[in-house]
Amino acid sequence: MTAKSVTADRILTALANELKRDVSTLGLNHSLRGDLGLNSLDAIELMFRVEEEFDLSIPDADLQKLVTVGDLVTYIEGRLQPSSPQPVPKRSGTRLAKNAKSKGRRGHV
Amino acid sequence: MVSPIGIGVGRFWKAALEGRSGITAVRGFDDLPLEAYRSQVAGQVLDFNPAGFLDPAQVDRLDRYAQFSLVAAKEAVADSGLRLEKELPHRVGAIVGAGMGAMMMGERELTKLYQDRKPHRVPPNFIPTITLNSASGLVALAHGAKGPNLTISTACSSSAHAIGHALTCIRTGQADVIIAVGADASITPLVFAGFCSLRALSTGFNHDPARASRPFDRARDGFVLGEGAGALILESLPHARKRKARIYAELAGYAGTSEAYHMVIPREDGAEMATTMQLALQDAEVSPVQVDYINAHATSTVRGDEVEVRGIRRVMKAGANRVTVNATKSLIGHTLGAAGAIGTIACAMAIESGLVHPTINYEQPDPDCALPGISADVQERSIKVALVNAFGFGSNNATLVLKKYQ
Repeated sequence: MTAKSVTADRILTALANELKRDVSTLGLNHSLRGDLGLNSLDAIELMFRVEEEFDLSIPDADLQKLVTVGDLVTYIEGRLQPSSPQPVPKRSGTRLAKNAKSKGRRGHV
Repeated sequence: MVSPIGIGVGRFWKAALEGRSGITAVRGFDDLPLEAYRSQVAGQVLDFNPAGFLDPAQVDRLDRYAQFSLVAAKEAVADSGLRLEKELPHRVGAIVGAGMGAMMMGERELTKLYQDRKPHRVPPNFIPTITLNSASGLVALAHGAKGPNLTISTACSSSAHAIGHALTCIRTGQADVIIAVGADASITPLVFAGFCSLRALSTGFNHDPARASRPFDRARDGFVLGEGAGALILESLPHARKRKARIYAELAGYAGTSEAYHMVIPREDGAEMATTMQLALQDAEVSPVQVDYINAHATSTVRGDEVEVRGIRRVMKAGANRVTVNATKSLIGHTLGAAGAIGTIACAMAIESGLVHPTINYEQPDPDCALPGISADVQERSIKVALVNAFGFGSNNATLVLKKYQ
């Protein structure tokens, strides 16, 4: 819970700095375009700030889905979750190829 | 009006009549070596606090020249008493004259790009800010002016042409009202260096900035770069009468020409400048002998001031010795794109008040450009017809004719 609040705080602070407003005036239910009056260029600038703040890259396609401040917080928190471990790639394919080559060579001999 | 001697026409005019200089020492540009700038004086607007006039987003994102434009336009509209929400929006236009445009923003972002190496972090608002028509767009937006909307850029004569074009729009029935603005704010590391290299700026008064801008004076040694904005509301007479507007003067004539001679040097004999003045007078249907006052271009360059006086003598002939002449640039330096508009405001104020502000630092007349009508003191004159001259780099000339409204 504490870690989530910190992220939300950081996002609200970035938003407050962007909008030149007091952070206490911003709520999670505020819509970015509607309530906070961000136009499309403002939204891009906000993303720049958030990307710098959290060292992320946010694709434009993802940006379009973020309607409220809360959506933005949830999205960033999701991006900050450690990703699940990926399976280690098997090496059998390589061995097979080597065998195939040696077979070929044997074939040629 | 945003000027080095006051923000607001009232403050500007009071300071002008007092002969106050707005030329101050340039403190430097970041950590660039100041000694590498041959000129170290400029007409700076030191007391401009954008937050006092504009909303936070405008403070952050707009270039200084656009901020100046908005502030000047807002004052002009308020002073005119026009209720724009009651006007047909397509009958109200906004035309801005700007020479350099958003150079401050341009230099800043370019520097950042090379320092940070992050092209993907160039702000999305950069392009809307840097486009040369940013100020005219913003002024139209701020006032709901949907009529003719242009930016005219001809260096030092930009806003004279903006005002002239506004006159044409009104005469041809395209608009009833035009918000005409001139603005420039390019006392920047690169632009200032460029003017220094051009050998156009005064370098002999770095120790005494207030004396550096000295049009017509024998010791003049180049112009002083300034920044600022002037805005005027131009209106058709029937429209102005209908709403009982306060009319400062009549804008009676305009001419714009090219000398087709040299990008920065005017033709020595003044013949081209004389032609521009003559054409403007013809447009106004007045003869040279009727001219009472000339708000001269007079930048304080050795050549420019001489040539202008020769041009005045060619047009006015004997009348040149009877015309009152002054140089607003002696007070505030050369505000480039704003100069035409600021000169026109000074001219309109002179017509209204009967007072011509001093040409400060006019200590020793130069025989090559002396006219009896130039003075370092305030002059009283009943003005019926006046000229405003603006001659730009690129061999570009403009003259406006103002008349007392009667």
